[in-house]
Amino acid sequence: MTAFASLSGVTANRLTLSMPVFGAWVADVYTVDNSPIQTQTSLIVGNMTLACAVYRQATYAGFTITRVIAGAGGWRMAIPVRQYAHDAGVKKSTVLSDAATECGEKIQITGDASLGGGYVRAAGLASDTLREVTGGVWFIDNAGVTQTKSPDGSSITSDFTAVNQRGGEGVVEVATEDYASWQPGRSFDAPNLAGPFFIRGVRMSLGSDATLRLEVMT
Amino acid sequence: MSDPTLDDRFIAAIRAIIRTELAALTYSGIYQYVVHSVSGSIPNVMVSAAPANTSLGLPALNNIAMAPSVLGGASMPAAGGTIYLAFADQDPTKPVFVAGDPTVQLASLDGHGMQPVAREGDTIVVTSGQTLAVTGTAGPYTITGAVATVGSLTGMITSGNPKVLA
Repeated sequence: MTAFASLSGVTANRLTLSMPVFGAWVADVYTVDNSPIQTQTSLIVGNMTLACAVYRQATYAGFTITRVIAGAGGWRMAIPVRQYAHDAGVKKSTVLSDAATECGEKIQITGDASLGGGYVRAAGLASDTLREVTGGVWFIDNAGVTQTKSPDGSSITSDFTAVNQRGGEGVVEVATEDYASWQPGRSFDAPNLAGPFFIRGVRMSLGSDATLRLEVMT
Repeated sequence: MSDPTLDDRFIAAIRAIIRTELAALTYSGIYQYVVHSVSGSIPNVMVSAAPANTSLGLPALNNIAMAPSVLGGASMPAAGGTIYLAFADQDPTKPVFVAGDPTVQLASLDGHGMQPVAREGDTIVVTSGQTLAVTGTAGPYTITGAVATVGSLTGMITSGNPKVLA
């Protein structure tokens, strides 16, 4: 029987998954197998598969508890200084592709453009360059590829039920079988809510009662 | 000395957020660079230089423009001299050298003129066959005219424009 949620093929007993609109998602996963999780792996939650990398892990009380982050986990790495210059203009794609390669990430550039005749990359984290060049408009897709655009903004069409709304927090709790559709950036409406709503963040939590709670920040 | 607060995860997390939001601060400073080579000519001078303090996290730079200094003056810095790097608009795509120490190969007062400037005390020579305009007085007489030189005349500049110093 296929596990509802798993990390690196090992059944996940508990997890919390936080997905922002921009940036990289992060999850903490409890697995009962005491063997270490491989560095580059995938997290499966229902019908959603997410490529990810291990940030930290430890075994305690029969569980391996692992924090994973979207993609290859490279954007938090430091990359060296560099100068770019080209009479015809230095392209965003050149600067971003270099930064991605140097930190071990994959990137797909949307809306390439010239930055001007030069660009000076100061020492810092690879994510600093990513933020500088994209203006912060980037996310890591489910395949682990960094995208330099806003996420899909379409409406969710698959079946779901809004089972609770905490208006003060701006949170809607959703019951669905289609977790893959509930991506930050999309929108939804429900007959029992005064919508529509833009999804500004998604939080999934699998408790010890084997129930997955999907909360949408609106 | 290492900073012990870097080991504090709470502080490290806050620092990481602040640093991300203020990453552009790197491009808001003035940085000392040491000149390696200079190319071009006034007013289009390009400089290659390396940071004087390598711990500040900036690269050696090639062919960065030397901006005119105060009042439009321009100069060609000398190798080994110190110049200052800035980023216009805090933009990493707009590096420019904006000033430097007084050790220059060449300086132009207005950023364009390339004629040599004479100073008080400099020697002047009027070569044979030149004509000098003459105005002045000799006793009760006013003299206006021209003198043709036979052989060369040598003299010294005794005064100049007090608003231009060199």
